[in-house]
Amino acid sequence: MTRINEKNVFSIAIFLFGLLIFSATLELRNDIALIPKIMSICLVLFSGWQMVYDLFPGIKERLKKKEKKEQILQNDTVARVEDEREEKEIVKKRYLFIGWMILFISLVYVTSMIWGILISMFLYLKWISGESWKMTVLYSAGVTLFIYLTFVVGFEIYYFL
Amino acid sequence: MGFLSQVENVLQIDMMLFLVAGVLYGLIIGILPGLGGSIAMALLIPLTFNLTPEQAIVLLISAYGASNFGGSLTSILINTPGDASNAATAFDGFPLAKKGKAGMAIAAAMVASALGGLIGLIVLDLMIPVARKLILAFSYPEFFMLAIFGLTIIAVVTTGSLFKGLISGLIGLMFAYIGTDPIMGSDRFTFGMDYLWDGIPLLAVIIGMFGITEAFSLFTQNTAIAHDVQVKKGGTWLGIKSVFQNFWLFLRSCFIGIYLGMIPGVGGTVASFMAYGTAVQMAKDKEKFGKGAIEGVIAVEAANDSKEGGNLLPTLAFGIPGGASMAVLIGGLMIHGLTPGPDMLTNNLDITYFLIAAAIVGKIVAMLIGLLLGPKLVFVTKIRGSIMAPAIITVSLVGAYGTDGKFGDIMVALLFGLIGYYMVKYGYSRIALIIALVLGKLMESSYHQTMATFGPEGFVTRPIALTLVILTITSLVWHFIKKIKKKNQIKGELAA
Repeated sequence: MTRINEKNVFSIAIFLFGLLIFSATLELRNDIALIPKIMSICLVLFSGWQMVYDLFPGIKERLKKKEKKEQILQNDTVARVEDEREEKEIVKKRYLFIGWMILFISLVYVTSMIWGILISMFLYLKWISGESWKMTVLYSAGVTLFIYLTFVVGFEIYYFL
Repeated sequence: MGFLSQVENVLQIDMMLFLVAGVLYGLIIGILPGLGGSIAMALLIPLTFNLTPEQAIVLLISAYGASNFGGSLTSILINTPGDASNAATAFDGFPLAKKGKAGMAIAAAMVASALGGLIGLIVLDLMIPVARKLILAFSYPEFFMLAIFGLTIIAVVTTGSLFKGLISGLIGLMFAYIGTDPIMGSDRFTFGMDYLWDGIPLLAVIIGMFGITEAFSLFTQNTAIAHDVQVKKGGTWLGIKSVFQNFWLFLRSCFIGIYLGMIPGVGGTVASFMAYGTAVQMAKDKEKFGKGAIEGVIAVEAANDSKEGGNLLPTLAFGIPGGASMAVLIGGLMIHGLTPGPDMLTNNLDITYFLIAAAIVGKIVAMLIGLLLGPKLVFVTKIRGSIMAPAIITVSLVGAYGTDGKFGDIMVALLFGLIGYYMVKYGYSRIALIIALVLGKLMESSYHQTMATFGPEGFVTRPIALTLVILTITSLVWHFIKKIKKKNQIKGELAA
């Protein structure tokens, strides 16, 4: 039996990346494509095997010797329980952090690096980390001021503004 | 010794200010767990844009050198290595701290690091005339074989699953091939994006893979990095004395570090663990190791810093980075118009000697500052992870964006931060990916150049290329024999 989790998605992504590069080598001249083609075939094969291994953990059990089976099953059960616990406790937090980072770079794109830092730091400290107003204002302003003074004033990098 | 001619230039007031600033910064970065020399330099590079090449070298090399010192502090005081290469310091350093001998352990680590670094750099200086002759003997087949040799190191540096290490290396190679091809110079694997014509930016990848990934871990942990440990006073003199009392152990560890440092891709982690293993194997009283033996601290720190000299040789002479830190250093030098490779030992020889002199003076300054301020800098590790994380993300993104002002670099840093996080989480090797990313292009271009210039026989008819083929095969076979032996030994022990 299989189920989709972060590990499987990551394995599939690596496999698809290998496949994408391999398919791109088919359009290239033979000599230019030679080394990337060989390497991408290796990546497709290796990552494909890893993907199957991750998607269907039963294969792992069948490949091992009988005497080890019990131990593997026990380890897998422990790992699965740990994974589920991790899913519940940390996964929400992780996606929140990824979301904040996406917001950060979106702010940099829409406004500028300096404004992006100030706004995203403020939002993070107040609403994600749950800091006090004093800490939020001082820390976000302090980091922004440091970056502003160092890069814009000190090194005259004006694309930060 | 050529570096002596440049010491005077390093001792200028402006250079010394940059050097002290670099050392202080490197110490702080080194103390932060997970942030090592590569991050220290990667985050500094944007600050060097408006500096002269000499000032940039002083700042980068002193920060890199000092980051090792900082890493050993946290290993000893809180059992938390600042970097993977400092991990073995904790084996005996932390038990010493628990015994109230933290001062002694810190002093021994500082002196062993500084003197080890000096010996490594002096050996590097002495090897430069030989390296020049070697360069003449090096051509495309040798560079190809050297790149292959560097790539095979992935098997050694991969600590978990070798299969996943290979996948990581192959991913790195795929990223290395994005950009322009080495034969026609036309774009490939760019998928219609002009941004990718120059290839994947190495600096943004490194910032993402190390800085952002560590920020992720800190955020999810949401606890203070350090446990509460009291640093007891005294023992500094005892620590300094212990290095000289164990001088042969120190010297042996230095040469292990230098030798392993020369092999691209091996890095300080392998060197420090090898030195620790040798110290245990050759000690009369093996039992005391792991329980607070000062010899364990000296061996690891001596090897860890002396490897820098060895590491710099392939980096400066051939442009082949000995590890992630050296890859970043190459990036930093290239921004200032200095291309590591044969040029550094011919047209830019003065700059090379200047770099060695700056590294040597940096080591001495780092030792003095480390002994004075070391224990006082530990407060950084007591800052909560959730507070540290946004600051590291900010500095990382600023570092990625500041290089060229390209928004795409921020995206790349973030993307590789996520990739790095999941790689660590699921047992893939970040180091393997970085090594392959750095060496992939060299391998491909030197392959085509060899085929065009010498034909396929060029790989096996030239003595150095042939030696490298044998060395590559031997190192791989030896590695696997050792692994099988170890596996059988464990099986035997379990059966018993």
